[in-house]
Amino acid sequence: MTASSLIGFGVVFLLVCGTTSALTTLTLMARRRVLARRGPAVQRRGTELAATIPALLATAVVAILVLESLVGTDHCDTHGDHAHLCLQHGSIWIQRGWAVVALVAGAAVVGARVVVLAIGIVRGRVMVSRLRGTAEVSRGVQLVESERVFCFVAGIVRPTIFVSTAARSALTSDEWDAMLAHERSHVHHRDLSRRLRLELLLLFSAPLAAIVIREQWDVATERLRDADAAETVGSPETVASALVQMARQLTLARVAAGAAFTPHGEHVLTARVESLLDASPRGEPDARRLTRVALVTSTAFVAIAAVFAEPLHHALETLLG
Amino acid sequence: MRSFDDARVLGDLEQRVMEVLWDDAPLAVREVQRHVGRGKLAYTTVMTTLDRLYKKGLLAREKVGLAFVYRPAIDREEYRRRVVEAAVAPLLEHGTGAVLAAFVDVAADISEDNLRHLEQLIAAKRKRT
Repeated sequence: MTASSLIGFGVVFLLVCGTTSALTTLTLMARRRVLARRGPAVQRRGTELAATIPALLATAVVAILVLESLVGTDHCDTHGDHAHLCLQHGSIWIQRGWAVVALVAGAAVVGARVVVLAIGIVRGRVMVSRLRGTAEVSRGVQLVESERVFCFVAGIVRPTIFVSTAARSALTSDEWDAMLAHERSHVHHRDLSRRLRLELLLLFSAPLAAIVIREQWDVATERLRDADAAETVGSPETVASALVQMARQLTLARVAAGAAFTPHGEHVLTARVESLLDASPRGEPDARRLTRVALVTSTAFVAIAAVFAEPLHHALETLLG
Repeated sequence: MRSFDDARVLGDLEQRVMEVLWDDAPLAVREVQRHVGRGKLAYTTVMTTLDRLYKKGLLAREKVGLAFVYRPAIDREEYRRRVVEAAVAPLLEHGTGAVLAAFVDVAADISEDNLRHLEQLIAAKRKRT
């Protein structure tokens, strides 16, 4: 086996992963409204499947091709006109300039994403630990003396709720309880760990797919936690009111700072409030159904690829080699 | 002089020196050494720390006779406020989705009309229930 024979398999991984990622993301975009209407659980599951399936399918296809090259019929001697997807006879891939460039470019994109993610995590950890040092613990939350209005959960390993005193004084007691119930649900469900897993899968996604998937995942997760908070405090209106009040304070702060009005996040806030007031379904049964459909479809795809491993193998090396 | 952003985090000794000076200022190096080190810290160590804090903009100093005396350039509350701001601003403004989930997107800029519309929806729902 030579290292250059791996280039061909790398190109196949990129091709399958990129194509599947683009297709699943386009499907997600096209079905966006339907998923949102069916409930946040199914919407979130849709985004997670769109992030997971491409990497899994591409790995499965490469594994099938590698196995085929090891245990299948060795046809390499019978046609020498293209590079072989073969661990023994694939060294010619190094002479395919485009394949080397594509692989290097793909690796560079994944590498850059790893660096950006790592920097974000390290920087976030440092900031969170600094913030922890300035906060007072009150009712299990870190209360930060600040004129900024904020409330968030931070920390992947040890998720913690941080709330500013400005947010405290902007809300009524009921709204405050609703907001904390929302944040405690994030902590309870370890959403930030789940988000990190999503980010790791998105390292291999097609260009721009990550933006679509992240955005939909965030909105769906917030809607889920809004629903949890509504259940905890027994009043969806109070959760909605806390959301609007916090948004109003942020907008007022921006006006006070003299910033120009740049509409941002209006549709997200509106969707969350309407979802609370309409008592929209969470969509958990649909989420389970969607997972089953995705599993069956992916398994069928892999099974077909395994059954037709030889023609698939040959077709791909004819196409790429 | 470095910006506050560079200087926002103080080491243990720096923090202790600042606490001493917030409680009792102005002080000369020898007096700070007496308060902080209880005789265990070298004079030069305390002097270097004070100089570093001066360069960070956290201390002011003036020459009295042959020696400098130091006092805080900002009070304890202002320092705390700046530490919070230095930690919160990048967290909220530059987006660290993988490590943070905010109740409301801090970058959200919602029109007054839309906010009022949403409030009306909530009020109407409250009336119905």
